[in-house]
Amino acid sequence: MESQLKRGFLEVVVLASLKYQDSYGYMIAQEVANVVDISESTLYPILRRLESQGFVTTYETTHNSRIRRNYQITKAGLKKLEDSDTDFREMKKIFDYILR
Amino acid sequence: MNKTDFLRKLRIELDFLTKEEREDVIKYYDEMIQDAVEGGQTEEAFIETLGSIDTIVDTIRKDSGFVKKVRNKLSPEAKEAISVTAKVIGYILFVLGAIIVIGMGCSFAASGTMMAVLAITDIVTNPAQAAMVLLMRAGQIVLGAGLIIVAISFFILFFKYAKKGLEKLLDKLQEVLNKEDSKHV
Repeated sequence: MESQLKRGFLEVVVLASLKYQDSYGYMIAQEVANVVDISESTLYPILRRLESQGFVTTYETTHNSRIRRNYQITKAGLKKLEDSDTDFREMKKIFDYILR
Repeated sequence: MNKTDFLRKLRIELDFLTKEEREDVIKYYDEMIQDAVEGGQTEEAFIETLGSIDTIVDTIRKDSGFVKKVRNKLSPEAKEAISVTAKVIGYILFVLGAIIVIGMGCSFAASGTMMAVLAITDIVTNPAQAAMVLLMRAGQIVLGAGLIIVAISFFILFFKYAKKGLEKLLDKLQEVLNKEDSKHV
């Protein structure tokens, strides 16, 4: 997939994976990998982007006596998810047309 | 490559980042590798799947510009605050405008009504007056009616257009804020 388009998609997919519960890097990568081809290395910049735009916040917890960074979706993130819903519906129309 | 080597090499290659940013990357990979090992993967095999250090560094380099840009930009919270503030100010102006318009309109309507009523009463109670006076009374009635009409059109125009105008203005503001957003995504 064209990288710009894919990155936009991935941001939303990662947000969607946080819609119902907070998660941490490895778990997000595992979950997202179920639906889209993504490596842990691709995930890092996406999480950073989401965080810098205020769509997710992070907090640290201790797991097996080491620090784990958890990601939580924000109100703005949920709004972004909602907005992309409309975008994707529009895109689906376009894809349906291209692939008919 | 094992974790220690991987992180050491990564740290060296990321020398273009600030110390804080670099440690952030290292922490991410350190945590990721430990979680993968805990999840049953072999350390070295998992590190293979992360891709070459060059690719990792390249991706991060390309992205660091974006994050900086975003950092200098308004946060969604700030935007929300601006848009809420604008709305509040807009509505305060609207209410102030309404008070002025209602005040002026009411006084116009009241004085118009008074003038017309007094003139009518005068004509009714003293019909046998000089034609000149009767003509003046008739003039007062017309003037009074005119004032009432002016007051009514005041109300109609204000509530019809001021609200629409205000909403349009707020929409425009929202659009500008949103445009700022999509520019960098």
